[in-house]
Amino acid sequence: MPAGPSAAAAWPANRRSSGVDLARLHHMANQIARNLAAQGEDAAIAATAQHIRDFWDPRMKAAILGGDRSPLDPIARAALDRLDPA
Amino acid sequence: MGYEPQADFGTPAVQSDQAVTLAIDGRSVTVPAGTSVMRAAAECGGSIPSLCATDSVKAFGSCRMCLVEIDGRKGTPASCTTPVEPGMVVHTQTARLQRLRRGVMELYISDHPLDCLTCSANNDCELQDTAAEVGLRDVRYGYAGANHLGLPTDDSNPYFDFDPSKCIACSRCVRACDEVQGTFALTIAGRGFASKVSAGQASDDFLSSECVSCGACVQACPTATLQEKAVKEIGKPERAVVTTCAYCGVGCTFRAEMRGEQLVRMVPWKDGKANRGHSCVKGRFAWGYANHRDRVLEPMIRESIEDPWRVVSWDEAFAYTAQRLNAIKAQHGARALGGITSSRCTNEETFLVQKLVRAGFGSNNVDTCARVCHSPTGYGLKTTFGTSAGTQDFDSVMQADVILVIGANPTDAHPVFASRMKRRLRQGAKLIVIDPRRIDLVRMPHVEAAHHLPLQPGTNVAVLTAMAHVIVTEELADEAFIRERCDWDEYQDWARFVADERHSPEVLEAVTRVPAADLRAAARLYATGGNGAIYYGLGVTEHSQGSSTVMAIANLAMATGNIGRPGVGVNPLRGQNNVQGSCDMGSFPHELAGYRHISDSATRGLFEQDWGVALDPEPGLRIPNMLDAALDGSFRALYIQGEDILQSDPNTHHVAAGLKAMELVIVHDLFLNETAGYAHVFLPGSTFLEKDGTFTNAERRIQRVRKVMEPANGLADWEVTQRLAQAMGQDWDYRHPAEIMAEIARLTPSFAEVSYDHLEEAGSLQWPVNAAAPEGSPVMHIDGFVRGNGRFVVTDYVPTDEKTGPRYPLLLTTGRILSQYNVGAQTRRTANTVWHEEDLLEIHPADAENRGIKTGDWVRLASRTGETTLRADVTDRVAPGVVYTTFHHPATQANVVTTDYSDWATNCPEYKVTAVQVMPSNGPTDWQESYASWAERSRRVAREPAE
Repeated sequence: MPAGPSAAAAWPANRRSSGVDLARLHHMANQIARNLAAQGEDAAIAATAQHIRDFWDPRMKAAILGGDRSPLDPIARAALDRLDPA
Repeated sequence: MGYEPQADFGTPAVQSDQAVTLAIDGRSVTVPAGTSVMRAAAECGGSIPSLCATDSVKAFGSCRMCLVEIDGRKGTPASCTTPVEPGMVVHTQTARLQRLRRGVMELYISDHPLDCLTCSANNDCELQDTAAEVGLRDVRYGYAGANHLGLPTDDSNPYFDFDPSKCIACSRCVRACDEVQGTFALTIAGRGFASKVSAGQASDDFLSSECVSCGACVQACPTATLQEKAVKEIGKPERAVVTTCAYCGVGCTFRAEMRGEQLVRMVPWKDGKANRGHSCVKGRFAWGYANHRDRVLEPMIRESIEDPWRVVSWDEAFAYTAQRLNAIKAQHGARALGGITSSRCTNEETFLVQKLVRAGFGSNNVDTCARVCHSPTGYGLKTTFGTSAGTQDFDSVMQADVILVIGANPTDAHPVFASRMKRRLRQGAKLIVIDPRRIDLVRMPHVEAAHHLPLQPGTNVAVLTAMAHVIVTEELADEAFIRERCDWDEYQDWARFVADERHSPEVLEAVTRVPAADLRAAARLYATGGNGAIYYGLGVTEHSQGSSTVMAIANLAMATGNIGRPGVGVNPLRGQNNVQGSCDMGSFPHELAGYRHISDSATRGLFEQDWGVALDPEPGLRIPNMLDAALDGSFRALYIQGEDILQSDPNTHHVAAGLKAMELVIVHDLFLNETAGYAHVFLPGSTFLEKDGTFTNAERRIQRVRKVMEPANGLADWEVTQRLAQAMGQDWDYRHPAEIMAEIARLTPSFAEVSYDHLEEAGSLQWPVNAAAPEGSPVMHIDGFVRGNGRFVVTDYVPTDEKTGPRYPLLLTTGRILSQYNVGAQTRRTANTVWHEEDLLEIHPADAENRGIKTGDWVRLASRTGETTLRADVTDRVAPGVVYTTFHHPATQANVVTTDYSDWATNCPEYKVTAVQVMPSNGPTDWQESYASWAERSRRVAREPAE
């Protein structure tokens, strides 16, 4: 009998490509950016960057900074540019 | 302390600026104007016999026992209904009064069973005491006439009996139900000799009536007519200890009344400032889980979750756990370890768990159940006001003129506070309810909402922005307050944003489904109706825009000047008993105690110096991130104290997968809960009755939890965490939770003046408690916001990504019910199941008819995430297109259906919006059957030691 009722199987494999779940991080970053967008572009970019800086664990930051940024909204992408290591 | 009944002053206390001095039996006494003679006598140490009077309800004047003589007045007025007057000279003990009282008493006793020696209220009966007090020695009328002595007992309620043969028709129970609880379930049926207390209709018993089993009637009863079954079974208590309830965030204080080591009953403490002597069915009666047979009292370990559990000694459990934690840390680094603190445990225990994670494990991967409930409150109120907490005390509601309830169901989830709110509404305050469901408050006895805005789930921000549009465009904002207290430029930016025509109620009606005229009327009422107070719950926070909604609420309060005085404010109704405290104690991965960011080197330095270790300056993982990271392989060990994330957190499949991916899961709990199925170590927990500490309720009130019995497992929870820390090499040496509180106070500015001695002296304290406010802060932001200027934040409506469509055309929202609590781990193990044996799906008649569903039918509830089955309850409490269920029972596992969409700022799950389909079903799903089998298998315990 498997350990748990189809536990891992029920969690879609496409959400767990290799290593970190980038799709989820992209969704989170875009969601932050969209909710801050009403502040105006410059402020939203700064606030999105600060939010990720303040609330994301280092491995999450590293993963999104090191990954494909094409799924990101412009504000989220610009925010990540500010977070890039110098 | 020994057993003494709580003092009863006969009539309620009166607040007045004017004092009145009078003489009672030769003693001079000064009391507030409006006080009754009865209460004045009691306050100067006197005692006037009475039967129908008790200080929780208004004077009634029916029993004629409390008669007094007053110089210059004819007759013998009832002292309970006679207000004091200056210079009044009162005599409470005269021969005439003695004769009158004895005559009345004789009539009472002529229709009362003379079974005192075998009565459960023997020596705890006001009728018995009063008979003795008036010197009744004989009853001249005999007992052969018509009487009530043969009436049968109603024992339908699981917790108390109603024996009408002992009833003296004093109406205290009826009045307590009306005035204290506000349910109006009881009445005096019949007239004259036929008068009797009746619950509901003539055909009802207590169980089938509207009675909510709050216990107010039992507490008010002067005889054994309404008596706890436990008193009948165990006997009269012999000692009492005041402690704090471990259920919801109201934080009721109780007297735990004991006989030896056995709890007889929990009686609400009259001096409790959160509950003011009231209770609900959970706190009052549902404590039987503490001794339930399911409770596990010995530590257990296993190598694999496929194995049966093996019972071990505490020493072996700690050594094994520490060795495995240290090994994982050595191989994968500190950030592979984490912990979850419990909002059911004390501040001191929570503080120790986060300290163990930060200082012992070496990571900031600590989170708490607030992640899935009020984390958006923390974010939203800190951003706008500067503090992560509600602004008022509960007493404040009694000065509110307009009460706005959004996304909360207080009569079910915070019933004791709801009773106070209902009392204020009966006094004339206006009510606005914003909720997809027609919650009880919308219309119930003597309460009717002025406006119910039944919005489409997921559109809170749109509704609040439309209200703001009305307030700004109709020039209802309090400009003077805003200019004085807030950033004017930010306000103008916000005002321009909300005033845009696209945010008008008329335009947004297509989204919110709230009629524009109703919304406009509600906004006008809130802005212009006097003191406006907002109360909200998880219907606000558990959305993809939970934090935005909290900030939108704060914007409304600031725009209308409804902040900084009694009667107004922004009030989150917290779910669990210590969720405020667990957040205060540094349970979030980005914050140290007192809501200070981990990246702040000055704050971090304080803790590093005190703890003697370097702390990670980067924020840690939140619970959902921990589960993701477990699947990625970078997070491997989790210590969970007093939470059941498999049942409580969204998307059960994902939670299970994350837990299963971990090398080491440590569950520290009372029971082998659902999460324990995936655990390798089980550490037995202790109940709130078995330990010392403090809880902090929804009004920031810090209250003592006092040990009333020894831990059944041998160790309080704080001791378990300390032993684990010591096994990992930490040099902790706390001998009492008071020492932990001393550490909290020296490291947390808002707790700077908190100590056990101070709490003993004050009874309770509302933080901040510091040099500026040494006796605490019932109302916050009085002279200015904690952050300086109040900050208006533009909150745009961003629809959730969870969409309905042809396959999933309905919206599911989830919540809770009065008799049950959270995942039901406690309440399912009490007689409360009589009111809620299983989770039900509420569905509107139109949606049910379309699907051929009737009440009681099995239905399959399916979402993109998963599916379960449960029985249907066809009701128009929910709107067409919306279905609702609770998450109290693991057999249903409502969170199999919920998604992992979450609040943009905090990752608080979007429990309140899930696109679903509902279809008839013939029984449990394959998953439910598979899970039931797994759950049983995962709880196997090998009784013989392994070779």
